[in-house]
Amino acid sequence: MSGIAIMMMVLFMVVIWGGLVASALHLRRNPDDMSGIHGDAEYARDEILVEQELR
Amino acid sequence: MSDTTAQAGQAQRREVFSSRWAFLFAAVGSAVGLGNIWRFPYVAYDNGGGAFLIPYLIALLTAGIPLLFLDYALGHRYRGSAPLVFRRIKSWAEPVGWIQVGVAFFITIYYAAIIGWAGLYAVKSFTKAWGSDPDSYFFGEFLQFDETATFSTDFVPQIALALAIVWIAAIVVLAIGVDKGIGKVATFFIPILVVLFLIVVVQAVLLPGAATGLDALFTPDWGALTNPTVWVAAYGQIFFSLSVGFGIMLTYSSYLRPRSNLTGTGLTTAFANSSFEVLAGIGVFAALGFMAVQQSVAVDEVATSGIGLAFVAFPAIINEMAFGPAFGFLFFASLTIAGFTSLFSLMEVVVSAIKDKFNLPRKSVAIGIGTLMALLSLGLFSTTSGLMALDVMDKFTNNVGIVAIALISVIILDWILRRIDEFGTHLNAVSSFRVGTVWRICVVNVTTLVLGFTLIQELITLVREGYGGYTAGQVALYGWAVIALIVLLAMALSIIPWRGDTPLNGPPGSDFGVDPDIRRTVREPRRYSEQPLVDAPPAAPRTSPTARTTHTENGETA
Repeated sequence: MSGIAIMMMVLFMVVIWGGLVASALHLRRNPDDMSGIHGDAEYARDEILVEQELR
Repeated sequence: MSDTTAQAGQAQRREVFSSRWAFLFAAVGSAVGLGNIWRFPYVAYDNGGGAFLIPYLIALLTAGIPLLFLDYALGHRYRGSAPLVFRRIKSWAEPVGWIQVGVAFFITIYYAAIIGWAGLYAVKSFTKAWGSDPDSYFFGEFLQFDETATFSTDFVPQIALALAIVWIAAIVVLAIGVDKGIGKVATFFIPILVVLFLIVVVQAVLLPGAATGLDALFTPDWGALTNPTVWVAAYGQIFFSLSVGFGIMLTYSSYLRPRSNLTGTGLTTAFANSSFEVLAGIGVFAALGFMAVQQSVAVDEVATSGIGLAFVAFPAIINEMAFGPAFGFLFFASLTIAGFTSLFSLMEVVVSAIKDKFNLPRKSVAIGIGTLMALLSLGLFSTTSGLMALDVMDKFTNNVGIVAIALISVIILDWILRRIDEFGTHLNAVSSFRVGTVWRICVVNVTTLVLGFTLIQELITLVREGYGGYTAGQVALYGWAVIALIVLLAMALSIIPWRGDTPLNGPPGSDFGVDPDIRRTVREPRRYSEQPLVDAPPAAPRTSPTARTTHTENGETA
């Protein structure tokens, strides 16, 4: 393999697989119940939103 | 939680995935399909090699991920199948959802056939049943392909049998349910797929000549970046590979619990899908390099994609390598699993829509619609004209159907209804990765341009030149007639009233603090600077529920 081909292969792997690792870490750091503008607000807890679904 | 019933006379609450893992595996299983393995490597090779990274990454960030976020927002906010979501957004938009269902319906029936072939080839790998000439075996003995027939009733028994097994498996998964069926099966199969495919790739990279293949794939052709077709190819690859814009991700996200980190999950799904593609590129071109070296030809003479790559080139590679049968089994097993987890996500678009519209239990719909689809699939694709029907239908449902309906959805949702800020604000209300103006420009402007250009170009070519050397009758029946049928059925199904007491206007449950019906109104003029900025008390954070009543119309949230 030529130098440039090896470089591009490594770059491909670093960018795409790195993106996967970064987004997986980001997801782990941001649990469902704490994320977003609603954050951990009492009025936006999952159970309360579920209740609004039941008529 | 899915067992929770509401007040007397109310239907059960919509099913939910029990964990973010179940959803993530299901979404990745749906995104990772045959296209990742057999389409990406050749598209990358053919469009600049290593330099393809740039258009590919830009397409991922400006179209793939933004559209995926939109699908997640639609399904999660309006909690329904595609037609129900569009009905709840605007009553006249329901046909958009049904067209998505129609496209998914036809893709499902031919997609199952390829999974059947891959399953058979996994078994055949042990004895290398294709002999020394895989090409004539595949088209001759295996498919008994008759390219002149427009509609054949000559069944090929082993293909019919394999296809029937695939259908039974898919029906069983969907009949069991969202969490215990789709979620559990994906959580089981996706890790297995990754392990099997990693073994395939490592084995391929260790073959003599692998470096030649990787050299061909990754040597950059920087000149390609100035060629518009390379950019269209990059957007096309991202678009088809992520399966956005025709109801799949929308349907899956309607089964998420209300508090779900949508964009965080979306980013992970998108990068997992691309990561698998890059892995496949390395494995496939390492193997093709080995084949080129064995036959003393250049890589460009053996490089191919699609059915030819999987069922002709790979058997030839398996013939020539050490441990060929084991390699072949792992490769075709990977293909089968990757295809199967995508198959039931496609079929769920149809099952979910019929279930919602006619207020029927999941099990009856999965079995009823599944049987209908299975019979149609067996009748069309296990006969000697199956390959032709499959090829034409694949071309039209993908390059015309998906592209057109994704474009129409974006045009209706934002160009006409101006609702993109509602979906963006919804995403921000519950998700960690915020979206704003850039996201809106990507969804509304970039995709409209790219999809519009692709569609027009494709339609001109199809009208002028037909497709793949097939007769006008074959293309008319499996191509244009299929598209026409989808549109007609979409109109007809939209006229039929919804059964049961499903709420049909606006979000069915919580509005998540984001008002869907904000309109500018004219009131008595007053001095602007004297108005209070926020209704809430001064110390309260902007996240107060009353904050939404103030400046939501401006829409800018991040």
